[in-house]
Amino acid sequence: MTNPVSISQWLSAVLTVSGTFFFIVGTLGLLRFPDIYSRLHALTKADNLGLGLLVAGLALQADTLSSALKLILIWLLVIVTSATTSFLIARTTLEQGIQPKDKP
Amino acid sequence: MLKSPSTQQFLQISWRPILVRILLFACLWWILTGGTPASWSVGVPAILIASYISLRFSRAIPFKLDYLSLLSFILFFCWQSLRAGIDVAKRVLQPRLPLNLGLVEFPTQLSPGTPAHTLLVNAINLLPGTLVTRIRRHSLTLHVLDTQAPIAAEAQALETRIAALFRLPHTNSSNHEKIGNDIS
Repeated sequence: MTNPVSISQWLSAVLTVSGTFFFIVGTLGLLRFPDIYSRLHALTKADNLGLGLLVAGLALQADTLSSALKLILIWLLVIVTSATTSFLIARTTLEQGIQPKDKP
Repeated sequence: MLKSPSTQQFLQISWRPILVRILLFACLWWILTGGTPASWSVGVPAILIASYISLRFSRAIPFKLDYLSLLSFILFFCWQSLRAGIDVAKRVLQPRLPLNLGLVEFPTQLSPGTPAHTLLVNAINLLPGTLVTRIRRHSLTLHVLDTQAPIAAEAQALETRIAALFRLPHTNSSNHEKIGNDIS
């Protein structure tokens, strides 16, 4: 029951499921939050963590070191693009004079 | 002065950026191909071409990294990502949607265009409840999910870590509030 394989499989399952949970949370935020700015918060932060947990879970199941590193590389590329695009969208929105809402 | 022109030219080439790029692209190739021996016949030319293009297009802003700080920054970043995701989840899943939205000005000592500044802007976007909406010369305009949260202190802590990472001189000034009080 407590051999290393099953422990890492359990851990992998827990990580993957919680990653999926944060993807759902990000989507809920996109629907529930009141304006562009707050929706960007929901998407960047929840998806960063969601994908991070998913990648960690899948990396535990990877056969080789290089495929585990490939998964981590995908996570890094996604967080760099999501951080940059969320800034670009927020900046353009502010430049167009769309003010953030102060209450939901 | 006494060196022959060819030796001087040879020494003027800085080899470090070239070697660092070759090493990085080789690691990348290994990750992408899983190290299949046959792939290196395509990989080696690709690595050399990529290194050449990277050198030609880099704007050559020199920076030094502190590797111990890098390790602690990675751990800090993962911990903050976890906090940020849980923070969003807490707000989204409550029926009354607890938000205190607003814009906050954050004064920064890092100058725009430097690698340290770019890292600061990108990292703030992934930190709990903060999003950069405007970059000014000495400050960032942040959109925050909760204006009551200690935004300034957290962003300051991040800036201090990034300054340490890039070995930049940095005064941990908490006197912004003092200045504000003097004016009011």
